Amino acid sequence: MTDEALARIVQSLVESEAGRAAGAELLGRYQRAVYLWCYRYVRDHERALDMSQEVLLRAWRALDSFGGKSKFSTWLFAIARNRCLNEMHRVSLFEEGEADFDTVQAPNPDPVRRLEEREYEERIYTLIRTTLEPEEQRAIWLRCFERMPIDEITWVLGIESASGARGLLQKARRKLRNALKESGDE
Amino acid sequence: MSKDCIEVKRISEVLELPADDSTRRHVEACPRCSAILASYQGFLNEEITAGSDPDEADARLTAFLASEIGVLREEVRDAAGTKDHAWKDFLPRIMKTFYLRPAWVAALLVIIAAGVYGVLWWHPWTPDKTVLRGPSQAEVSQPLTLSTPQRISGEGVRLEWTPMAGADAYQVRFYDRNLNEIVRLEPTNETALIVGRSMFPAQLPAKLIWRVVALEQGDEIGSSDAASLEFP
Ligand SMILES: [Zn+2]
Repeated sequence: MTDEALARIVQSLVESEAGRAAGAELLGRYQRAVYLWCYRYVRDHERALDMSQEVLLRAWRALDSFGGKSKFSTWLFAIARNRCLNEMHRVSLFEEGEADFDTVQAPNPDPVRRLEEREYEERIYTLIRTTLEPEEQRAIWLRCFERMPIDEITWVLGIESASGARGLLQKARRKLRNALKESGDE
Repeated sequence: MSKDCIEVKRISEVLELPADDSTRRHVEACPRCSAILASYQGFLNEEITAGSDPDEADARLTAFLASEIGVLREEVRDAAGTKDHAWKDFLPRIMKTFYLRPAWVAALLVIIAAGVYGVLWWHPWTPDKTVLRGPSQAEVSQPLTLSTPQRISGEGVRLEWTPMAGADAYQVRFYDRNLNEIVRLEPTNETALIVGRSMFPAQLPAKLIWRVVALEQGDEIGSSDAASLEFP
């Protein structure tokens, strides 16, 4: 039975044992992927287990809102991704270290500041697109906006060079700093 | 992020688009969307990272889900199709039932005889011809949906579903409320049939779940949602 068919059983037989059984099966199919995903972010078994439990519980409680327009696996991935983003520090775009700017994740309540931030994000987005090679773009995005650990970026992007994502990120950041200097925008 | 960027929860859809589709081209060229797509593919790839303990995690998360949801996953694995030995598990159970109740042996023989003649159901409650003709191939519609079961005379219930394009047979499967498969009928090329309580093991739950699987040359090509069924 497909994930989406199981999700529909959960929704249509809500509160019944069949609905709960379908829910246990559906989430059970992904519990390992969720755990391994969280583990890659935090590198700690107990912490990854706690995070996985939160992701699975959140998914279970929100399952009636799963519209079936997207795949269940992508819907669950969105929940797991958010949980991992919340767990990780923001990372600076220009050097390896914690970021001192707010990005997409925490919009400023002040509308003027929000507009400034939005403009800043758009400039950054354009800078990344116009300055970097496609693989550098993906690596820098995964590191700074998806807050993914460097080893995981090497794995996710299948980078085979000896320096892995670390080398790629160094090169990308150097390019970004130079581009920013040239545009007189630092 | 650009205005063309797609929502995280829809990121996998691009994999099904043709290479020249504009959304797909956007995702390939966009740092944000291409990074999230790569990330999603990493999520699905259950590669084991050194230091992790996925087996222990599996056991603890199964127990966690059981306590939160109130049902253990082991009870439903077979019904959900992740393993296909539900039918094999069912046989010893039904044989035990037959052993205890010799009348069932006769019932089993009737079912086998019915199968040999290509009659895909058994209807001990009525001597009339009960194969029901579904719509012709020309009327096929998608997706496969179930009609509400109709109670007919005696203990019979008429099950009906819409035809599905490409299907050359349909198989009706029944589950208990824990989604343990109770029985799957022989595939039929009809889109309706009559079932009765006497087709099932003696300890039949009051409420059953049923669904129909569409087959083409014996391969599953689609299925309906599940629906509940109660015998009179
Ligand atoms: Zn995009």
